[in-house]
Amino acid sequence: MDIEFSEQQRMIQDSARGFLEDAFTGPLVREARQNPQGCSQQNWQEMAELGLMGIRVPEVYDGIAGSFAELIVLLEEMGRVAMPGPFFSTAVYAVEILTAVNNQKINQLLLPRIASGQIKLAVAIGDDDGDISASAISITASPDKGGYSLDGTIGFVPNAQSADYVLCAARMGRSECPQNDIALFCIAANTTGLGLEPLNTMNGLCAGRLVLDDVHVTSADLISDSRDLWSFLEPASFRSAVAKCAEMVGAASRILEIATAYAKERQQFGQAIGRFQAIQHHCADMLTDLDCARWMTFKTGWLIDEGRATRQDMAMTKAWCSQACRRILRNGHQVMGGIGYCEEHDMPLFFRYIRMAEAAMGGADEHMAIIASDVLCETEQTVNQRYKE
Amino acid sequence: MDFNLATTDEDHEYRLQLGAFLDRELTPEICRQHSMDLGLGPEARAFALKLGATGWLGRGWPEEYGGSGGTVVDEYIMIQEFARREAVVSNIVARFMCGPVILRNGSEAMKREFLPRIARGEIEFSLGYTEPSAGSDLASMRMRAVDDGDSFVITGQKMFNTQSHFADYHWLAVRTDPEAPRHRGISLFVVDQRAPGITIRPIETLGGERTNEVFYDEVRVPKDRLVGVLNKGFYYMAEALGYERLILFQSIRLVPPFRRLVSYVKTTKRSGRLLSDDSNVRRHLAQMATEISVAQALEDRAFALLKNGKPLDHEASLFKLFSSSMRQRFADAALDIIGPLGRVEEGSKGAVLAGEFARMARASVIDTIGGGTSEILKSLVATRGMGLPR
Repeated sequence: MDIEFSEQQRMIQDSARGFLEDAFTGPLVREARQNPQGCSQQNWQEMAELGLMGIRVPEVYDGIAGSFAELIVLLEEMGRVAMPGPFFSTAVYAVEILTAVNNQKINQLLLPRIASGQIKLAVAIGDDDGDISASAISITASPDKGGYSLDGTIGFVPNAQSADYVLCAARMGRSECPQNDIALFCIAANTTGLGLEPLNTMNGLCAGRLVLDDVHVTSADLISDSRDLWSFLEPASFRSAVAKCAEMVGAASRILEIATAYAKERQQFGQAIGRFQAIQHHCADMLTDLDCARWMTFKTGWLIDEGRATRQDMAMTKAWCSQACRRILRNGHQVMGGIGYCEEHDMPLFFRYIRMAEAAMGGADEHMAIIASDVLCETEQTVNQRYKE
Repeated sequence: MDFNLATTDEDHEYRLQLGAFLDRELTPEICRQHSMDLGLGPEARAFALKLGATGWLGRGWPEEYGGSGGTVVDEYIMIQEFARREAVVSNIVARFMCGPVILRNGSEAMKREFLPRIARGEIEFSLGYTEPSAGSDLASMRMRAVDDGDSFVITGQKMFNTQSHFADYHWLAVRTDPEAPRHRGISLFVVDQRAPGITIRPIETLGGERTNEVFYDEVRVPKDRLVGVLNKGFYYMAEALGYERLILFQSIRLVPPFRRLVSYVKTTKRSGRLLSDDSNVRRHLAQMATEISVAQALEDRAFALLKNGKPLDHEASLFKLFSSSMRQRFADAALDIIGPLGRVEEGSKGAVLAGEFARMARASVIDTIGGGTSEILKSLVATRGMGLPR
């Protein structure tokens, strides 16, 4: 049992924090909400030069092949500045999927360019309502002129506007079982028939609705139509959900810092408000929620690196973080009072960021439903295995 | 980063051997005697001695005081192995609360007198901190020890001293300097629980455990039974509290009741439908399972600090804060799932799962009160952990 950061984790934390705090100031993050690209090309290129884009890209594709624990450290830092832009879609979700499915031709095409910062990706797995389960996939793929024609809509695709490529799951119509009927395509954003309707979210123009109207793709754009594809896509999605937790933990830890500092300095009734038990107990509740979220995320990240994380472990992490970070927001706003409600203050940045993240990669309700299914299926043996030590 | 408790081959081997021993020797009757605080019956006493004879109880302590080498990891493995069997380590107060304070602060003579006997499983202690007018405000305790030559003479009353009716020794905090500032006038003593002048009166509780009021009427305690330095008692108590808050709320203890509840919902129909198909029930189960895992991660963090020789401060308070309220939510959810029959008590016709959740609902009331109320702990977390002004 050891909770110290490794040398490598410390290095990532130090270099990322220095860069991110300078690059993503409050005013810049506020402004980025109106930028469909999410962040400037200069910021994006600098991150690539620091090696951040390739943190999970294998070395053969010019990445640095970092561990999941290292990714978590980096994402926590990004959460601390409520970083805008398609980093998560590109360097986390898309990379987890591409490396899991492992089509070498596609990987050769995309991964080196992701690592070098040349391209941005979006992932479109789901249906018109934002559901990300296998049965929700509603885009259809039908054979067409030696390739495929894709049709349908996906209601909520994070960072769709900035994407050069979209990784899109579609239904092949060959099997009754939704999990055996899926294919994954790589669609260039400028393909004819691929329509994009920008969505103005709580946190700006960071998502879009994709409308596919007879989008023709070639067989070279097919990443996989293997019948067991979902068994690769699903774990990649759940790992990405855990990664999303790291962003939330970073943002929540900044809320705690802001609120604690304010409680020490703000005077009312002739004393610092942090001396009042009502405020102290809000702060203690925030730290409890944060510590739970943080150590749950680190532990699950470690389990992922060990190859032992179950779907249940990952779902629990996202469910808990979504619940806890929302409470942290509430308590933080209560401590900050009126000033935290002002748009020019940093609190709204984190509010907007967390309220998006809590639903991203599935919210608490979706994950709780999955946990319940898994808990009810567990055998004595798997339970014992889980609690072996 | 690493979240394995047992990492070396020796740790693994120890865990397996201890587990096999417990599977063989730890009977339901012994568990019941421990968990109900009804007192150590002959079976529990015999078991403690058997455990002591293995040498494992002394793991984590130096050999010169009856220990058998090992580290705090071995101590924690033992706590976990008992907890996963819904049991409590024999003589847990002596071994994990009082013993460590004696080891760090006691005189050489006191270490030699008590530690080997604790390691052999021979003796148990009872904590004597709370008084009728000193609960959360522990430093206001009034019970007095007066210096009288080669002994102290102690008079006064203690409250909620749960194990006093069967413990061998009283781990007693009393005021030794009424003139000093409150925290600096308290000392700790090891008192023979059967000494003349001590009266023990039972208090029945909502949870069904017995606790006690303990009265001292001019009880003479030899000076060599003073723990460490005179008037430093409050600091020793605080030192022991960190470990206490960590070891009494193992989240793994909730796994067996949870699995019994899962089996219940999979086999019980209401209005013609299995409970496991009810979305409210499923939501409750998911929340319960998640919180157990969250508590485990928090516990891992606290233990990792301990293992690395870092003092447990607000981290232990925070862990206790979360875990204690979690057990209450757990019992509430179970009763919500089971319905009216969940309230039927053990032994009655109709009791579900032997009334265990009715009992847990009653017994968990004290979790957020004893060992530091949630309100006291929140203030501790805020001031010590977050630097808010006192």
